[in-house]
Parts: sequence; structure tokens; C-alpha cells
Amino acid sequence: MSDNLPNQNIFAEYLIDSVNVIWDDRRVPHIFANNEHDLFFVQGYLHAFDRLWQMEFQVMAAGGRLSEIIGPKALEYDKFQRRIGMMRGAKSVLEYYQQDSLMLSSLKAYTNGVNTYINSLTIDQYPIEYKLLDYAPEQWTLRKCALLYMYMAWELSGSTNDLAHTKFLKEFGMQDYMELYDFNSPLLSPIIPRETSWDFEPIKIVKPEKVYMSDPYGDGIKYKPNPNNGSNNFALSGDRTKSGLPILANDPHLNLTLPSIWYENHLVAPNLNSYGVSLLGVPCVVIGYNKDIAWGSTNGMNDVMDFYDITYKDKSRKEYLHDNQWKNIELSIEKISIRGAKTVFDTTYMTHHGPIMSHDVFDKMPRFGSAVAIGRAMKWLASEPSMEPKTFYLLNKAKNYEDYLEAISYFSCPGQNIIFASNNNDIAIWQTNKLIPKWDLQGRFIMDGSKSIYDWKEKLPIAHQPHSLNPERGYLSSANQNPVDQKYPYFIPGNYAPLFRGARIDEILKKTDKATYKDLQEIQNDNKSLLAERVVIRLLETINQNLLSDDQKFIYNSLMNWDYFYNPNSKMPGLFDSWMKSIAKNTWEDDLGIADDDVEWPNFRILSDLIIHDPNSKWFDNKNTSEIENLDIIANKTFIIQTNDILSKIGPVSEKWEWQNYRGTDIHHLAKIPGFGNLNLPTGGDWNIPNATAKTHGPSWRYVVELGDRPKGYGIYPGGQSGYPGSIYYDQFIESWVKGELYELNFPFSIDEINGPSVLFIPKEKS
Amino acid sequence: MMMIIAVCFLSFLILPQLPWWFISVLSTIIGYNSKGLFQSIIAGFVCGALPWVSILVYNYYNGAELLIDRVSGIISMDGLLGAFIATMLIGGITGLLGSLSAFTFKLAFKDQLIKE
Repeated sequence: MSDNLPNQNIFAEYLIDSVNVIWDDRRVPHIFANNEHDLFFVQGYLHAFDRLWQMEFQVMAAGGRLSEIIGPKALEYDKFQRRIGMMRGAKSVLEYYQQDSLMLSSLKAYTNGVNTYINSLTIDQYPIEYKLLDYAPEQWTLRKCALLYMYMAWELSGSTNDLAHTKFLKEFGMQDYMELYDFNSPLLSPIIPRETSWDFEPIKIVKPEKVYMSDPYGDGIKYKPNPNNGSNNFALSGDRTKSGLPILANDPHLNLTLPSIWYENHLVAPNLNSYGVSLLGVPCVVIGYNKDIAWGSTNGMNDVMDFYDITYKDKSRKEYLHDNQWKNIELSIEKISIRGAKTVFDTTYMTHHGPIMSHDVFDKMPRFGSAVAIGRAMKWLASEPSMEPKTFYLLNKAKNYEDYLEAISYFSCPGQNIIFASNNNDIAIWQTNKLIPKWDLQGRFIMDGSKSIYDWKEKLPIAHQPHSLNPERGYLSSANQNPVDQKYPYFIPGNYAPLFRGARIDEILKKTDKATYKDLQEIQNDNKSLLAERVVIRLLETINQNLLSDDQKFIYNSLMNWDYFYNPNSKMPGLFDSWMKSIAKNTWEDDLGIADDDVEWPNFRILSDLIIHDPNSKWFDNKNTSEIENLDIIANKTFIIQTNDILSKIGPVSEKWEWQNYRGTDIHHLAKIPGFGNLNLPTGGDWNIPNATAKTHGPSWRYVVELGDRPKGYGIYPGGQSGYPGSIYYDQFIESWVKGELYELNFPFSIDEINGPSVLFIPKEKS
Repeated sequence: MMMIIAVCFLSFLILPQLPWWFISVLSTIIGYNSKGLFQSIIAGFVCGALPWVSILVYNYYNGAELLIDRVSGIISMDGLLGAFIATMLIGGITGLLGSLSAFTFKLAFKDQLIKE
């Protein structure tokens, strides 16, 4: 394999007509086709051309087939993937696709394009990862397209904390639960502006007379939801921009890998001209723009996964109770091939809720996604048939708000906040998801699987979903926070991000006027922490300065004068970060247990509320000591411990204290092959501030679009177009990404407007 | 000795065109024709290391610099020097083992061959 572009015309079966491809100087392909079929065929071919190994590895992992590549050590992981229903879900999604001939033909064209490339390869030309791991690519299938959507659904909605919350409720009761796990706050800047009125009659939801309390048995899964997964998007209306037309920005925060999860491409066919990033394995642009509209997406963080206790008839566990009837438990048998070992047949026990998560696998799972309640039936929205590819297909072709509305109506899971802006001067955001109407707190705790009153009912009508169109304030934004305030008539459970990132974005947007793309780019790179701004002075007030050494006094004064920015050269973020974590540990661990062990500590907004408003809260007291602790005692103790710890490790305040050196960012290879990653990048930012760059997560695609007769796009992702580690295009964009720069995107309307190396795809019969 | 030098030169010329395992065929020929243990070790090592190191250096300066740097990273070594040492050792030891095996084989059956 090499990174050389094709240097001669490509003759291919399946093509209807010739297709031109021109690569620009960043190796972004601009595909000019005379029909959509050929467009998606060539898109599939080029995705495979640049990223074949990644495409296949992702879906092999998603479908629970890693044992075929790396042997028995992946067996438990594969069983997990099978039992949560990735393969079953992909199968049912695929059956659903059959109902839509348009989608089916585009997916088939894409699949044929991928396979045409695979079939053209000799063993020598396989991507290097195949050689290192010693296996060969297999044919791409429609099921693999469906699996990719399942993979994304798991990444973005696989978090669950039902068991942790049930345990907490059982031990501490509802009053404490509401104090520590409520996402409403006066500080919240919800996604849907507070002034929005809801002019519909809400569906009446029947609530059980007495809410069920599960026995929260089970532990042993030592992992928790990754707080770094999230995204930002925001849009300004024409009233706030220099051009008089909207500007839209988006930066999805995902696990950063090489090759990157995204691939940049430009697709042109009659009635379709879209530019943006695609997921490797499915057609169309997922986040991008066309000549009329732009769109972007953030994770809705909705809780779309619930767990049910099962009442078995007897020890044989062949039947379970539901509304006074015994229902059969269905068996689903999965065949798992293992390299170098005997094939394993694994049984999943199915109820009408979903699969029963059984002990023998999950006790052994070290860390995959988040805590799954063991031994209970799992209901997950992603396993229901849906048509997400159609959303992207229609967005690629959309011309206005109505087209956007139709497009997002097909989206089900994972819940997304899809933001929109158009040349008609509309801006809008919808939380797209097949939301289930729930009574207050339904689904936060493990439910009774024997009564239908706890079952999911019909979905929320689309018009009732959280949304906003052209708000008076002239801007919209989302940052994974609670989407609505308490006026919204439904309860929407979710594992929302602490409100600081969203509040900071809105704080800047509120002041932004006559904006250009650079203003939105600056927001994407903004490093101010509202959490630090809220608590640092209050925490420093608790410190007894007489007990501090000279070095500690210097640190104290530096914190006092800190601007709360996590810039690469800022010296205080490292200490603040470890100090806050230490305060959290001293506050929660004695009461709730270790955070990784099916226990979820309240988020930093809750802790900051206690710091500001309730310094003598019972939660600050360590129940294992005879002394009564409060904030002052904990903050003092942890300040001394953390400063001593850092001083002993890296010495007095110096360059080593700079955030870029203290934390930095590592982008590993997707299969963590050493040498194929790019490590120790000098980044700023953190997960709860707008520039949400963390150690291994961060903005996986930053882009800004200025709408207009000729929309101008700017974008970058931390990687490169080629998946070949020997190519300069493998990690070409990383240096600029670290600096927060954006590339101006080439968006020609016709083939005459762009120059570069090109190739012609020709139907084989024409040869 | 001339025979061994010739085979080494041959391996330098043809190994880049042949599958990697062909190195053991050539080194076996060298080992079998060696006059002593020391010669079989040195000649086998050179026969294995020389062509592979040559290919490595050639590729490094003809577009494979990045890939070689990254592959060096897999074995926690840096750049060309790391890859050079690793390639020399892997190629050399493979050749050495082939050559040594053949030489030992010859020694073991020498008496029998003379009797016959």
C-alpha cells in the first residue's frame, strides 16, 4: 500500500456514467458525478482507497468479531457486543432499510464501490495493519453499513447509570437524590432558550401509584461514562453577523484516533452539492453544508437505555412474568469464530424489553462504555429499526428549513441536537430523537419488568420535541447540557454535561455582533473555565496561609491572580484540576464509594453549588472520622496535599507547570499500535470549557460556515485524509489543529473551478 | 570463500525480488559451503543482513521515511538508526541460523558421508 493517488483512469463495473474526481492540496476528493448512484459508488471506492483497514476494523469491533482477528483475548468483548444486540440491531435496521428503495440503492452503490476497491488489491497492496495483524480484508456488506450506525449509537448513547442511581436512592432516599443529581439550575443556559413557549397539549402519561424500588444488587464493573465525550454547535442569525446571513459552527468531541473518525469529501451530482465530513463506512456527508444550508450536530446525551428486573417463573428461567402472564424467554444464539481456537456459541436470553445482561460476561468486562446493570433486561432505543442514513441523505440535498425538518424526522438514535442555518436567514435547532414520554424520573432507576406500566409507550410527537427556530436573541447553541428548563412539559432523562461549557459559549455569543467566521472560531478555541471562575476565590478564602511554605504561597498568589484560562502556557490549570478532583474524592468517596465501581459521583456543578452555598454540607463530613469536616477543612487539607504532590513531582512553578506540558493530548492509533499515534501534543482546553480538548478526547472536527450565495467553509480535524501511516497525509492537519487554526475549504460549484490531480472513473462496458 | 562471497552478492541482488523466507535457502547454501564455524556465522549473518539493510536504506531515502520512522516506533526505537539495527539483527540472525544449521548438519553427517 502507498499513498499515491490513482494515476490512470479506473474502469469499474456497476457505474452508469463517468465520474470525475479531483483532489485538492489537502487530498480532499471532489467527486463530480452525473447521478447519485455513481456518486455514492465512487465515494465508497475512495473511502476504502484511503481508509480500508479503519472501515473494517470499526465494524468488526462493533459487531463483536475481534476474536477473528486477535484471538481468544477478545472473546469477552465480542460476547458483550453480541449480547447488547449490535448484530441483531444491525439486522433489524437492515430489514427496515429494505422499505426505502432510494436509501437501499445508495447504500448498495456505496457497498459496490468499496468492494470494487477491495477486489482490485493484491496482498502486497493491503494496508499495513492487515499485515501487522496478519489477516485480510473481506467483502463490504450492507450489514456493515448498518453496524457502523450501531457503533455510533453505542458510542453516543451507551452510557447508563441506572444501577448507580438505584443504589444511591436505596441508601440515601429521594431528597438527597434530588439534591445531588438534578440537572436543573439557575445557572443553566438550556439549549432551547428559556423564553420559548410550548404551544401544544402534552400527552398524558400514566404513572404507577407507587414507584418500584429495585434491589440494586450487582457490582464489579469498574468503569464510568467518559465525561470527555461531547460536542459544541452554535449559530448566529444574520442580525448578528457582518454579512447579514447566518454563521454556523460545530465541533464534535470524540475519542481522538489515527486515522481520524472523519473523512473530508465534496459530493456533486444533479441536485446535490454538499461538502463536509463523512463517517467511514456509509455514504453522504454527516456534518457539513451545501449551497443553501449548513448543519451540525452535538450529542443529545439522552438516556435511551433502561433496565428492568425480571421475575422468573422458576429456576429454569424459561419464562418470565409480564402483566400476570408467563411469557417465554427467547434464545438468541451467536456464533463467534476465534482465531486459533474453537468456535464459541454464545446464548443471549431475550425478553420483550430486550436482552438479559447476564453475570458471566459482565463481571469480566474491564471497561467498555459505561456501567451496565447486570442480570436485568436492557431496553435500548438503538435496537429498534430506524432510518438515520436518510436524515443525512436529505440534509445533503436540503434547501431550506422545511427540507431540514423532513430530514431530521427520520433520526432516532443516538439523540442529537442538530443545528441548522440557511441562506433564507433561518437558524434552528432540534433535539432529534424518538423520545419516549416519561413520568418524572422514569428510567433513572431500574424498573419493574413484570408490569406494562413501566414499558416504553408510543414516541413523542415530533412537534413536541425540544426545538427553537429563529429565537429573538439571534443565536442558538448546544453543548450537551440539559436541553430545556422546567417549563417544558415532559421529563427528558439524560446524562447531561455540567452546564459550564454551554454557559460560557452563550456568554460570548450574547456579546457577539457583526460577527465573521473568526469570531466563532475564537469561541471554539476559548479556554476559559467558568467552573474555576466560580470556585477559585471561594476556595482560596478557606486556606490558612500561615501553614504554607514559600512555594505554596507563590502558588496561592498565582491562583489568586489566575484568569481562569486553560491556555497551553497557563500554569495553574494542572493544580486546580487535581485540587478539585481531590476535593471531590474527599467529599463523595466516604458516602458513595469509589467512583469507578458502579457508583456515579455528582458532577462538578453540584460540587461547586455546595462550595458556594453550603460549605457546612453533610457531604463534606467524612463519616469515617470522629471529627466533623466542612469545606474549609477539606479544601485546606487537599490544597496542602496537592501542592506538595506536584512540587515533589515537577518542582516549583516553572515551564513544567504549563498546561501543555502538564497534561497535553495523545492521539493514539485506532488499534493502539505504538509508533502509529501522535503523542504529547501541546494543547490547551479541557472537557468542561468550550475548547474541550482533553487527554485523549477532543474536537474531532472543528468547522465554521458563513452562509451566502457562495457559502464559505472553514474546517479541520486532528488527523489526515490518508490512513497509510507512511503518508504525509496521515496526520497532516494535527499541527494546525493544535494551534486552533482552520483551513479554508474548497467548495467549487463546478469542475472548472478546481485544479489538482484527477482521475476518471469509467463504466467498464465503455472501455 | 569465493563461493560464499558470490552467494552473498547474489542474495544482495535477488532477495529484494523474492519472498522474505528465501533468505533461509540462501543462508543454508552458504552454511553448507562454509569451511568453519566462524565463517558460517559471519557469512550467514552478512547474507541475511546486507540485502535487508540495503533495501531499508534505499526505501528510507526514496519516500518511505515516514513509514520507517513509525515502524521504528512499534519497537520503541527512533528513526532510521533504530530501524537499521532492528533490520540488521532480524535479517542477520535469520541468515545466521540458516547458515549455522546447514554447517552443523554437514558436520554431523560428515563421517557418514566419508564412509559412504
